Amino acid sequence: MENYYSNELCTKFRRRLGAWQRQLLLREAGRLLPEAVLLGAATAVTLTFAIPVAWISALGVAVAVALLIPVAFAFGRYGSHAHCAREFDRRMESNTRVLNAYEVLKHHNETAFALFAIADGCAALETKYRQSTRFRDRRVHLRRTICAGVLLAAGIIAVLAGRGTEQFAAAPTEGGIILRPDGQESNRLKTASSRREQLEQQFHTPGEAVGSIEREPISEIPIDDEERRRNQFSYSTNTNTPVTDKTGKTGTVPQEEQSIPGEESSGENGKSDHASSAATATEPVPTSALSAVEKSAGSNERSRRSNRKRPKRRNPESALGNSLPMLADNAPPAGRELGEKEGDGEPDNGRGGPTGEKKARGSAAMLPVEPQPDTVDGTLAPGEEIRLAEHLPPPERTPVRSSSVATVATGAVEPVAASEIMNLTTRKEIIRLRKIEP
Amino acid sequence: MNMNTNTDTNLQTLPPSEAAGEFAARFEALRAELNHVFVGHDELLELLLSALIADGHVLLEGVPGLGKTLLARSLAGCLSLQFSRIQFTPDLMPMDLIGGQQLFENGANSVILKFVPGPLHANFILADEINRATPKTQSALLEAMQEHQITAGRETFVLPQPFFVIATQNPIEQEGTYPLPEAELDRFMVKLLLQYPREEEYDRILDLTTTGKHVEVHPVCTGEELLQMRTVAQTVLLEESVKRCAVHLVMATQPESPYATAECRKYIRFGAGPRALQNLVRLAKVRALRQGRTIVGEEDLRWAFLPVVRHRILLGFEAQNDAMDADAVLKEILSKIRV
Repeated sequence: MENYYSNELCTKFRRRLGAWQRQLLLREAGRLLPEAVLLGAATAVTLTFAIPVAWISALGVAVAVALLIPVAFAFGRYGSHAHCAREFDRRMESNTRVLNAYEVLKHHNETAFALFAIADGCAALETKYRQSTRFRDRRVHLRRTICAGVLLAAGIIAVLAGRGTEQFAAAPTEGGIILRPDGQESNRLKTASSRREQLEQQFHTPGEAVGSIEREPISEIPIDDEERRRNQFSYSTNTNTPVTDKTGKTGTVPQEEQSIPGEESSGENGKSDHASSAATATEPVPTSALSAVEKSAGSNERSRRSNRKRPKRRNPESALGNSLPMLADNAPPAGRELGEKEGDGEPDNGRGGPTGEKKARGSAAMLPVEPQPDTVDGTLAPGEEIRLAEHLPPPERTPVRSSSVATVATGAVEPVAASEIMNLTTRKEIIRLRKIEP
Repeated sequence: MNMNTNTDTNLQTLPPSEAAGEFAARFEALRAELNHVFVGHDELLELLLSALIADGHVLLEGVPGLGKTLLARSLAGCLSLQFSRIQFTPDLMPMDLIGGQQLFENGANSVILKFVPGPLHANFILADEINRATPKTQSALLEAMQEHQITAGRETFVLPQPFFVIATQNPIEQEGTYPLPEAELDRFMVKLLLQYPREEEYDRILDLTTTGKHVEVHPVCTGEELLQMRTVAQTVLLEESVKRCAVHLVMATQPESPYATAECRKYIRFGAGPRALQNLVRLAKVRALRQGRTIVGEEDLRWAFLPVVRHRILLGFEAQNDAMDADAVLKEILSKIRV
């Protein structure tokens, strides 16, 4: 018994439970890892393309999401020893021996039975876990496979898309000749990209930027024909404010554009507008701003199509400019009266009326037998006849002999009750009959 | 004769492991002795003996000819206790059970009024066909079963310990019977349903009963040993999570409670109460100790739940309509409530 009263047992139990908890945490994190990786990849893609934020590394965020989410979920589920003990009992079917032992330990119960329970839980932790093989959850395995497949496909698509973008950027614009940007052109590209970032910071979303681009007229940029033919669209889309009017007078020009070499020396401001529009119609434009415009146009087209698909409500009142309410929808509410009415319903059962069957009222829902008819065929039994005697006639007097009545009337004898008189007459009659008998 | 050899051993002074072992040994001795005459039904025997040790009363229900009375008599034979059999009949009166005052001669020309105890004043009561007596007579058992005492006139008599009532009734025969009132049903710790034997058990039943052999049971447990077993079983621990589970299980049978399941709300009119919870835990403690544990586990509660609660719930009309009996409803509840 002294063995039970040792701290060694408690320490041993805590150590084993801790080991089980670590194992559970790792398994839970591993179980959630594929989803977390997918989520991280989605976050990275979002940060790279949809919501690019300069000061956040997409890769870093992806890694953080992929690692932190499983860990957080695992600790949320198996953060306490009680949860781990309960999970052990559930998986090993050990009849809450481990959970009970943990609770006994937590409550510092040091009776013999309590320490025996701790030893029992400790043994269950050891033997049950040894008996069971490693958990192989097929669902987890399947999920991992699916996620790995999705990730692989996404990677392949990303690689292919990257190649396609490179080829598209380096595609020959004229006659199959690949144009390499020289120093001046690279400066312009840098300026355009900085301008794009400035736009994005200003408008927060690509849609706003595109809207501003669409609102403003394409500016006249003084460049030579060759450069205009190559890069005009990038300049025109990245221009922030209109700088020229139709007469060719230059307005406020952004500082970046003013600093571009070659633009200042150009004197064909009036022609460049037409030239740029002509070039837009014929040449491919490799800038992302154009793609944004195209996306926006595509989305607008889709929304228009979806608007077209929506069924229009036929409402005669709409001819008056929707000034009248929708009278067609004002159907009368369903009546709930049970009386007979004229209409579509059956009048026999009290549920007639224009709106068909009504809600039943007070139906005997608890009757365990099949419904009985309300009426019974046949005639009623006559029953017992009862008369209430409220106004009874006076009772008939018993007939008495006239001699007796006369005697009473003269007052010779005391009045005798009718029953006594009857008794006397009866007695006399009997005596008379006896005398007659032989 | 398989007499118990550990009569002198006091379970309360033993270390937990030895106490649990000794407890299980006595339990198995009782079961083995019963198996000499009563074939099969291991689960029922375990529940019956557990209820006996847990200080509860047993209601045995089964169709005629399954051996209810034989089981009760055999159990009485296994115990060295004062046994009393009461055959409940419609003309039985409460005084026939609890006893009454009688005149006795006290010397020369003088009499004395003296209380003569009825058959209820015993350790082991077999109330055979209990539902054949009128409710007036059945109610004579109420005080005895719950408080282990009998009040007759102005006197109260404490019943001997251990006091155990095992009652039998037939579920299919309703002619001339009186269903037990709820108050009395609630006083039975468990209601055990005696089912038909399995195929292989019929052979042994035939061998035992039709070959002229006379098999008897012998007492293997005294009243003192039984009380020791009760005391040790009561010291089995019940920790917080399992206690919560027991409370939730019982509350789940009450349609108004927050733990009531959809089946409970639909089918049950009145659920089990605190006495069901007490009996549930006491029975689970016996099982835990019999299996060598000193703390009640969830499975012990689940094992005891059906026999303890099945006669304490009152089903509504919807249950009849959907052909749901108490066990089916309780199994639905069991599947939803976990630690």
